[in-house]
Amino acid sequence: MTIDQMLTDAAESLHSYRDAIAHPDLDERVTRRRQASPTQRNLAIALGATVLLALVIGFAALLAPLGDDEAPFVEEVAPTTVPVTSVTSPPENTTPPSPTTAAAVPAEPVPSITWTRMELAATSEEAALDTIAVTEDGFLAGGFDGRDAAIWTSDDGSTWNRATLLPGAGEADASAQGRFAEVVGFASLGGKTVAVGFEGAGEPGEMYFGSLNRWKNSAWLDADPIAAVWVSDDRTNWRRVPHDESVFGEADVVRMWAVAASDDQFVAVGDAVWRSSDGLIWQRAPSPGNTLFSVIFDGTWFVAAGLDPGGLQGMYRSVDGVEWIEMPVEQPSDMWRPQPLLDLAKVGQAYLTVGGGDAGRIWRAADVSVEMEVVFQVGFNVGPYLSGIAIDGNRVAAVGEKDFQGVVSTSTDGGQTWTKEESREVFGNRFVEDETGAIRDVVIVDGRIIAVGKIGVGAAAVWIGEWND
Amino acid sequence: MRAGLGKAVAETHSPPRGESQSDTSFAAFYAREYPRIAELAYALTGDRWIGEDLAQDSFIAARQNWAEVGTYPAPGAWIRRVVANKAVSRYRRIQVERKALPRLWRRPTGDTPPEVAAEAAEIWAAVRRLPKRQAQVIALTYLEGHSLSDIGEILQCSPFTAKTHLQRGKQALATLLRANEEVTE
Repeated sequence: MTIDQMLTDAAESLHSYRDAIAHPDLDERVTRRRQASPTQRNLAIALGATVLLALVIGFAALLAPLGDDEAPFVEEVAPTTVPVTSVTSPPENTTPPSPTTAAAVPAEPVPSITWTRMELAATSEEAALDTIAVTEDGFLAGGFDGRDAAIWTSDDGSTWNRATLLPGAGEADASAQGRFAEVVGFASLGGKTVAVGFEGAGEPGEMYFGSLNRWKNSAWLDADPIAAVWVSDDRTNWRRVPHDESVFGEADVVRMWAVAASDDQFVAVGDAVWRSSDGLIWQRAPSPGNTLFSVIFDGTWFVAAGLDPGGLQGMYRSVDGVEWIEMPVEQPSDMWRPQPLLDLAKVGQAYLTVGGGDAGRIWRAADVSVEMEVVFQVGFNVGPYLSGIAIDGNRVAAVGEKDFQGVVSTSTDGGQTWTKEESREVFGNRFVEDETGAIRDVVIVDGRIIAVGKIGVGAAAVWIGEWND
Repeated sequence: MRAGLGKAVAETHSPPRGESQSDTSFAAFYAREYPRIAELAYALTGDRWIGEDLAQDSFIAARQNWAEVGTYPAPGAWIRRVVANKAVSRYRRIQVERKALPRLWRRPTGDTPPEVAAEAAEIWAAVRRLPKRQAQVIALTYLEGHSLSDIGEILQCSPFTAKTHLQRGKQALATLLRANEEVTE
């Protein structure tokens, strides 16, 4: 049989699918996205009351429209210029302060933020940053460059240098094996810093969220990922911990997604939980939930967030990384797609967590004893997610992606009220493939927001935002 | 910096085969094109649910901006380009895949279209392994019967380039399928 005939037959087979397919109700699809949870409906009521009050007292500025889901699909694209001053809108979602909340609500207007963006030099055509961490003497950013894991270091967040990553003793780089590797988290303990991530087959970058599909036993990817750890004494030179199948492999999908350190041990999470006192020798135990994407140590508790065994949002705490206690998290009623919790942070006694799915939500709990409740969401359109959150005093920044554009939401009251910032010039433009943006992670230091991610298909990018006050 | 996608297409496209300009309402556009676009997305993503997700999101975007998209000489060419590019672009595939997770998780329980025959599924899987332009040209040629001229307009390349992609794609496909047969034997 000729190729022509084979393709013709294959097309006819697909036509049977085409001829049977029904036209879905697009309104129903949009409505499903816009269904609000009870908490969100309460937020809407509170917002309505706030707007009415603002009308009475003359604060017309509070009448800015909600979101930009109906933004024009086609627009003139201005040349990218950096630095760019963002246009900061008033808070779009305001929640009444909880009686148990210690943080005070500031009365002054929300200050604007000036943003700059830079792209880091890479050796391949496809690179991205997935994580950033603050160290004693600067910053670490991790991700991938081509098929290999990559780490950059910086003293000030503005100038970045590439660190050296060596494979484990007797092993080869991922690229040399036709595989790829990616760094997604950092932690330091006792002068030693570890970077965690994973190595797999397939293509670079596909593991980031695409690997979730594999978790659902989809045949979309066949990456066979294994967990990976790199260790450094000076944060400039890194060596991969040699692969131990019983610790970093064995199951179909084994990835590390995040790591944190207490005074005496590292705890890494992902498709399992790992502990190590020196970063070199690790012990693996089952995850208390399903895949966990974030872990912090808050001085007392290791707190981890991700998905619970049923695939819903899951959050857990543990004093030792061994025994984990589940924490209550509000499950939005419109959850027809998994909305994993992707990062978390603590401010005072309050916890904040962010997640993916259709809405890019922020949850907050005043303390460890109460349920995490949704306090803000980026939007509904085309699957936004928030993947990073950082806190410095009462200033909080959450970052992610919405419809191929980077998203930044900020708060100056400890995460109770939020301002959404979107600038195609700075955070990415979905209408220009080379300028699409995704922001993965963020830190705040000395009043500066430093976020990392990617621009276009292959540029590792750093954004710096400074509050103007 | 390149111009915006919609504008660039609007400037160059004429209606593809079978596209009437007499009814420019979105409802008619959706009724006419959705099954074809979903089929194209299915062929290029390899997953019905991901493909339908992608197709529906594209139509929602088109509807939101129909005041402009509807004025294009060929909105059908526009949405084919959007979907063909989204389906084969690795970067965008990641996003679609992420969004489609619950569809895989909570698949509809009602009537669903028939499964594609195993032999056909294997051929489309091989098509998806081709370079993205070759895969797009083959899908547009064999699924919808577009001419090289139409395809050039949809993908914003010359008919000659489309022809080159088609020929090289078929050659590569023959090699791939032959290799599969040898492995099977």
